[in-house]
Amino acid sequence: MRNKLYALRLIRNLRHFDWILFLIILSLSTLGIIMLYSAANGSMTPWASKQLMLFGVGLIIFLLISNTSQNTIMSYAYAFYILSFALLVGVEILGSVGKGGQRWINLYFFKLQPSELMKYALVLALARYFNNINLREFLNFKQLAVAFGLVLLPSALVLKQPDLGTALMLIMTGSVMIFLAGMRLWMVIGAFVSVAAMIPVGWRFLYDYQRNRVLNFFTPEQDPLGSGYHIIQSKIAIGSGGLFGKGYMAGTQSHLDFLPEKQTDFIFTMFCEEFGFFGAVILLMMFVALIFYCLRISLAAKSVFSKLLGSGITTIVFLYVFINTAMVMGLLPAVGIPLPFLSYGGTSMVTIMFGMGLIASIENERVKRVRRSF
Amino acid sequence: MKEFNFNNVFTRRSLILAGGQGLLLSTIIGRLFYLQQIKGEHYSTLANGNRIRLELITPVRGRIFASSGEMLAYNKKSFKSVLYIEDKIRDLESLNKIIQLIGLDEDSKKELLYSFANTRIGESILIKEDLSWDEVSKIELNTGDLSGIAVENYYSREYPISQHSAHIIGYVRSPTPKDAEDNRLYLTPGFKIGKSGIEKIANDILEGKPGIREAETNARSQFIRELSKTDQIGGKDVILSVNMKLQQRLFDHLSVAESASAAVMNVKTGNIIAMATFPSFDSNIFTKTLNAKTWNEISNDPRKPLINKFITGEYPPGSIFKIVIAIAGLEQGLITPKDIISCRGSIIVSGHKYHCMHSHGGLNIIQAIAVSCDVFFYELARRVGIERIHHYATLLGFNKVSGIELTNEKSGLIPTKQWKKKRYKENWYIGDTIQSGIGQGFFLTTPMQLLQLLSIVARGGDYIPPSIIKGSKRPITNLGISKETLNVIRQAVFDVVNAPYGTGSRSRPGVPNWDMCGKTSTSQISSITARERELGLHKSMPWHRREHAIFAGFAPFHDPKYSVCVLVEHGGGGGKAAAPIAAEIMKDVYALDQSGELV
Repeated sequence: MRNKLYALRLIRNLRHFDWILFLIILSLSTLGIIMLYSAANGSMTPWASKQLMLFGVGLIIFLLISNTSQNTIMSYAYAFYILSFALLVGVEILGSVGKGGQRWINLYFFKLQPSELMKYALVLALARYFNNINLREFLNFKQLAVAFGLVLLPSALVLKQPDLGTALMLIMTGSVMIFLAGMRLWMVIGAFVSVAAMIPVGWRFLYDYQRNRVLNFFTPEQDPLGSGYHIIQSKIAIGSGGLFGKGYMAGTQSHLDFLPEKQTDFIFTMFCEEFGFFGAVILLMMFVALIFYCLRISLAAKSVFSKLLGSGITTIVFLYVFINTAMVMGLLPAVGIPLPFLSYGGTSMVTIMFGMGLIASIENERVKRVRRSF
Repeated sequence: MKEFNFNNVFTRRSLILAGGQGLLLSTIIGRLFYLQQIKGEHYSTLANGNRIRLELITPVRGRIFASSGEMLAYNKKSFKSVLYIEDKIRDLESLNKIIQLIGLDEDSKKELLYSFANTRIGESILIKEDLSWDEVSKIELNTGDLSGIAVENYYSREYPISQHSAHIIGYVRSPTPKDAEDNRLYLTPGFKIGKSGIEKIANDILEGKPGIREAETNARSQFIRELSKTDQIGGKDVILSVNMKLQQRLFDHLSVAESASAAVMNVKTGNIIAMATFPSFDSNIFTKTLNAKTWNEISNDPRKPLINKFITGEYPPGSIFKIVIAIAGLEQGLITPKDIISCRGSIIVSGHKYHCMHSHGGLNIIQAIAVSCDVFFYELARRVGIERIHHYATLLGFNKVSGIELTNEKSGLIPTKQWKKKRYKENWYIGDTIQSGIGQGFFLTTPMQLLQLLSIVARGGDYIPPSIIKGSKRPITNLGISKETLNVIRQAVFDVVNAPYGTGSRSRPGVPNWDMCGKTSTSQISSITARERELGLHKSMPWHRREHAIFAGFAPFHDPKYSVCVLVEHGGGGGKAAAPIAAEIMKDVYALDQSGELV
């Protein structure tokens, strides 16, 4: 009886299944697998077949989350935050005990990086926090302190790993959400100014070698042995693609092994080389469509939790796409941020599908409510 | 104040952010257009027809100077030929051609072909460095047949005055594959890294940071033009605390012996101002391809010229160690300066007879050190015991490296009961303790440690880690030895040289107000039987079985400024072979100090 009811509910839910979102996700992931096939010089191994499997896992997560109600999700938000934070502390301890600074947990079919989980956990926790406090007026100092505490605690830990890219992403995502929840404009400006003013002061407290580390981080071109070399190669690969590209599986730079990490962080480079400017613009437009769609969902959502959750995930997707593409074109320092759906990697695929599941859940909730009101 | 409405604020701000995101994504598209359309042709030329080569610009290595200003290591502009491997069949042809052209010998030919076979496409191998003008012009003339081969500028490392300082300066050599594991720079053909001495210790300072050059090449991999360039950052210079005039004099004094080593320290700063080992070698031979004959000559020399004996040589300390025993005995109250121990030429402890050089009669501790009476210190060592000897020796810097900025420093050995049990599976006997009274038995020390011991006495109990880098800051630690004890020791080491009966009395520098103090040592390497001693055979033994002569001391007595330690390998008695050299050195130190050159 109970099973029958559950099946019925599933069928009913499938009827207003979010096909648009699903199609965007499907086509982006398919492009990813196609590129991974090319990256291995026309072979499903080692990357494409595994990515296909990971997409399957991601899809199950997507379906499960999208059929979970917003209330249920909200009730688990803090628990998820605490769990992610604990995992982050866990790998920190494991990493410092075992030599080599390991920052992941082996789940056998992929390696889970807690810092990736943390992004979504932070969004969930902030959304729930702002939902719980009655947002009748702009945020007061106490509320701001709690919210920034939620952001800075995991950021500091990630920064210590050291993973500046992810730490900045956490801070930016968190700040966007606090801004959207209603931080007074003069405080926003004040915060910007004081952070800018803090930089030279903090700089003076750093030791010489620490300063050098920071400088190297921001100017990898000064470090031709490391990432600077990769960026130059990446620019040549992109530029030589021209307007129409060299054709699928015909990217000389990528296939001659000039391009490092072409299956992960530099997959966009390979795409640009093989499909040219027009191909790249189409790919970017697909991301723009996804971001726009997510934005629309969060604007249309009813509860504070849903709205902020939606915009938090939108921000994550945008930051991924922007930082990754800017990085491979030499506009930003190489910080190791993957391109969602396309880059090879378990954590990145599974977590982005989790995020998309959250978006679908927001939309499901609204559609159901609209239907009920009729 | 306007009323707050979350939904309105959220919508308004979301749209503002979306606008910002749109702008940022537009810059991405703009950048794509710039790279793929505006610069597209440029990049596809690089990627397709012509090739782009990323070359590391190797940083210019920092120089090494003496504190007196002389340049000890610099870089000379030279030429090398390099093969950039792009096509293994075509490039093998050019490799064979150039081998013929510049007439390389069989060995280097084999080596080149081997490294050619083991180098990946896109990387390069070094064909020959230090090309002569003749060779350069030959290659330039035949450039049409030599695709992939380039003549490049590079800096070769030169040591203009190496001989007497080779052990300090060390040398650079090509990195091993293990060195190059995580450093692309080290794969650069012909690149050298510090492998010994200061060159190795200060490698990080001297090395600098590489630049990178995008070079466009034609289909034959020959250089066409430079596309972009990030400059290299040269390494920093290193200034040693060594004074070259003194260094030269020191080396000259040592060269009268078969094999010797010595150093002079500024007592006040702990800086080494001269350190030399004879025989030495020429650092320059290591930077070039080392030929087998030179190598065999150096490595088969029984005097081991490559080893810096001042810090790497380990010798039984001999009588200088009596200072450690004396400090331990006085500090522990096991003897006072007034106590007399009588020497009758030998002592019997549990059935074994231990000899002395003479029958000295009754002596106090100052006299015992001055005449270097063995019986006195057999007895004192018995009172102190090996645990306390170990404690005081370790306190005074033995049994550990001094940490001076040079390579392959040894720590020596101060035995304990546990050590002997572990090493020889034997108990510690009373005889072992008796032997330690005169620094024989299991004890091993480096000349550096003996120099440090006398420097501590000269400073009145302060320990400073030694350094050979000018101006390096180091902590001063007071070892907590009482003033009374130190005064006794200082009087004793004064008497060694300046009392008529002292073992070093024939070795006074002879300069007024520059009284040298010190202690002689004759360190046995194989036990001399009583019978051999009676027959006087130990004086006519073959060179490699003869005793080492050591002297460590300081000057002037009243306000010690410089300490010195001289080791003459297999030189015989310390008073005869080592102390006179020390006196000569201290005379030179005095002259340089007076003319203000040792600041």
